[in-house]
Amino acid sequence: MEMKAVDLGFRYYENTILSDVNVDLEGNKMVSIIGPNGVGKTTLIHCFSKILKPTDGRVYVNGKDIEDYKLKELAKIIAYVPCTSLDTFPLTVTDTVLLGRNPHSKWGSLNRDLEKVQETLRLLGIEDLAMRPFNELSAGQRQKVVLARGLVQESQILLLDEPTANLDIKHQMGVTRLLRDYSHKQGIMVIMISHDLNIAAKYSDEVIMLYGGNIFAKGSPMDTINPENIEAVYGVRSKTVINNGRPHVIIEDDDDPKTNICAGA
Amino acid sequence: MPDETGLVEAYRHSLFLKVVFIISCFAALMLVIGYSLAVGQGITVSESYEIMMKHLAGEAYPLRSEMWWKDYFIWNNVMPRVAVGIIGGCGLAACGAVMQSIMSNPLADPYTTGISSGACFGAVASLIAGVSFASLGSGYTTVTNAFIGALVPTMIVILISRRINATPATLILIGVAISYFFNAAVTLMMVTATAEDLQAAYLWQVGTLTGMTWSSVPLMLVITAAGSAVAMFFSKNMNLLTMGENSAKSMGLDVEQFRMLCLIMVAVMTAAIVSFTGILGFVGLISPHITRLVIGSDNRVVIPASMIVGALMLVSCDLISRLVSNITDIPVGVVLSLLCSPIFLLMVTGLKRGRGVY
Amino acid sequence: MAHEHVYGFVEKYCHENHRKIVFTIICLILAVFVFFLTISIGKYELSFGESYRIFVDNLFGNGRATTENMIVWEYRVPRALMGIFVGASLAVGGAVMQNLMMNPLAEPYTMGISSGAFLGAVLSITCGISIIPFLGGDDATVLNAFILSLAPVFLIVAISKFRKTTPTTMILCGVAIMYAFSSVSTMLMVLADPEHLSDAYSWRVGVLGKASWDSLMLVIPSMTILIAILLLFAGKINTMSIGDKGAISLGTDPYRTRLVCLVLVALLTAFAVSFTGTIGFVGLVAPHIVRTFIGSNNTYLLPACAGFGGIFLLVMDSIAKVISETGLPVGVISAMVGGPLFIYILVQRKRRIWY
Repeated sequence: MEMKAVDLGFRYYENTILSDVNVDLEGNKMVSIIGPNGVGKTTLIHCFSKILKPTDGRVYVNGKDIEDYKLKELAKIIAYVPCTSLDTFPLTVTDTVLLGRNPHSKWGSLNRDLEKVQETLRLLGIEDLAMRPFNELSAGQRQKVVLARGLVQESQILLLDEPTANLDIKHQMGVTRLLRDYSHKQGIMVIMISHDLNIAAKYSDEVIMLYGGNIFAKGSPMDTINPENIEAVYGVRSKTVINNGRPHVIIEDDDDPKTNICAGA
Repeated sequence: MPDETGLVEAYRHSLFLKVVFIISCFAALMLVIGYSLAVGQGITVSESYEIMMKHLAGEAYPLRSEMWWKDYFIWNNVMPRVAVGIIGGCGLAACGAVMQSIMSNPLADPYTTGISSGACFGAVASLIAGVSFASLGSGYTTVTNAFIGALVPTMIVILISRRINATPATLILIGVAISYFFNAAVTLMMVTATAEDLQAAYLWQVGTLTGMTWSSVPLMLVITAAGSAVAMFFSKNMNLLTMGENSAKSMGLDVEQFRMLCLIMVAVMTAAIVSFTGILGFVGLISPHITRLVIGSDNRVVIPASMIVGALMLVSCDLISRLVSNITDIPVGVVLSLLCSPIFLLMVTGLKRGRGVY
Repeated sequence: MAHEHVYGFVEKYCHENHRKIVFTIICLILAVFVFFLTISIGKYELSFGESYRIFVDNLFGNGRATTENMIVWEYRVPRALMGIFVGASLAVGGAVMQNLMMNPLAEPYTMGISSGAFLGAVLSITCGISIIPFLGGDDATVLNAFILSLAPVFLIVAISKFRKTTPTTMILCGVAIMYAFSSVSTMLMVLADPEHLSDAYSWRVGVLGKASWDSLMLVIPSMTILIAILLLFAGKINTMSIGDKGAISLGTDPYRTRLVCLVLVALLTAFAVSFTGTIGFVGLVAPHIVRTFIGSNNTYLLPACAGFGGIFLLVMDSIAKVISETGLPVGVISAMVGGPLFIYILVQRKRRIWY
């Protein structure tokens, strides 16, 4: 599967959010999109899933212009997992996740759909919540339900907007690792927005760093997540420690005594 | 450093515009009042003001002279009407601004929690069935009934919201359910009434300033003045509410209690006005919106400013209604809705992004 | 082992849904029962058995020309049937509107349909103006109401060329039109003479009493078809419940779906309103009541609303007939009973049904 953006730009009235974005992602890998607030990460993801139409440039999915895809067709290829919020009229967890089967379901496929739903709920450890109304869950539980809905769509590409935002450390790790394994074993491309540099560094195959509406850096975690880039993009001093071939970021305050960067084996 | 002066200038400029807006509304109001007093008398605006000043200064005219008639007519027929228009417009506009803030809903108006249906019920009970809720003398049955009736829905809403956790949407729905009930009761009476009684009841509902006398004014004035003062006192807290309930709570505001207090205030103010005039729509809904378009959403300024706009609206529409009354008798409620719905339509369809309203 | 486990999950889910279907079936059975009960109630005394017999006779074409026959077959049966269909339509329309607008306060009339219909009726009743020329009396009223009730929808469709049809846009347009139309109607009412005013007012309140086989010929097929189409849309409407962005990612075009469903609901409501006037309450509150039993999954909610709405209105009409000899408008009864009923449910509910 392939996701390509050529000279992508997005303007909202007079405000330019993205400009000259060129991205070419191929194969089953896990990609993290990082960058400061307001830099356009969510906008980029929305352009990838046809939620927004870019004002400049084009997006190509599997070689075909995204505009040429019908929505239902596209839904079989791309799944989008948003940041959660409360629904006005909440469904049960099972019904919510079942919605994700919409692109695939036909008359009489209910059993198959339900099996997939149960599998996914079990994978995420929330099977016991199956009959609860969506709005009664905690923020973290809701996040997992929405993630389940995306997984159940059985798409080739999975787009996620901060999927670990409301989860505790254990679940952050668990979910991110699950996504990485999913991508490697099931052959899916996972593109996820993340605010946590360390988790992104630890699990991603590729990192895209956005700044000022364009791509500031892209490549492997080792190449992109380093103190120079972090200072340029976030305005924060840091040092990195290499751990098992992956960088780990330690942020430094102005109060901390200045030390040399890049300590560690 | 250089950008700061740009910011200060832009701020001063917008402040200037707002002040200009308020002053021009006020000036327009004065003009309309004067013109309203002058209409049909064959006098000019300044003359009518002169007469008013002189009357206040205690001047007396020779009985039944031309000036005496003019003075009498202006003072006893037109002035009360204009006074009620000003007070009513101020009160309804203030209530509307408050309701829109506490319900976090741009479509809210003073009648959202069912006040109008309760008032109608009281009034119609008196007009058609001759039923009186409290005895205050025969001339006042409709008014007292309407007043008491107007307060009932709010009491029900408040009682219920104590038992359950009530979001604004829930409160509005309760108000809707209560409205359904009372409107049904009103319909029941109207459908079984004679055609003439029906017409009287319907006209009451539409809202009119005809037949206002000075006796109507004191109660309205006192309650509206008190209510507006309370509203302005609360305006800072209302600003807090717009940040969201949770944020407001974290700033120390007891949101539920505050909402209840505001509802009670709105109910009493609206009841005081509506029980005399009937249900005057639109003023409460539109004046705050027009004000916000120019002034922004700071309630500390919006509430007093929309009061002026509301008064201007009501008195102008009453003026039009009186002008037209030579041809046919159109109550001010009709004029209000005929004039205001195009304005509303324009506001809704011609929305500029991010300009205050939605 | 794993297969059993899976089977347990699926079983539990289907069991839940079967409960919901049972609710709908109970409503339908009750509807039939109340139907036969109600055709024996009225000013003219008839026993249950008699009216049942008359109904069956006429069904097989053996109707006799007696007064009883006329009363039951020409008057009561149509009225009851109209009640069922109008109640079902309004309830389904209300449920769909609430979902489309993502707003628990929405109802079939939210788009200004009621004020359009009323203006049409007022034009005909007070001024004798008929939009389709050469029609008179009741026919003119019905057609006026029908045509004008669709005016708001035309406006929305027109606007949808320029702006995306989000819930906010639609609601605002509906409200704006409602104000515009009702101001004109108010003026006409105020200027009308008392007799006409009275007639127009009665129209607005909503009566089932004018139902006849002629009107039913039109109403039953059209409402059935429209409700069936909406039921087919239930799945799509479900995907809209997570918001427009979520719907897109699941393959549904939210703006087009919203527009299409709106037109369907508008047509459905227009049919109801033109013949019976604006019967309130059912469209707003019936869906909420049904949701407390069934939840928000539209595949089961919509049919249940149809059943519940039908029987609700039928029961209200029966009460109206019992209480008053002159035939109280059903709209009055449904509001007087429904208002407190709704508040009671609101207070008693254990789970929140809307946010």
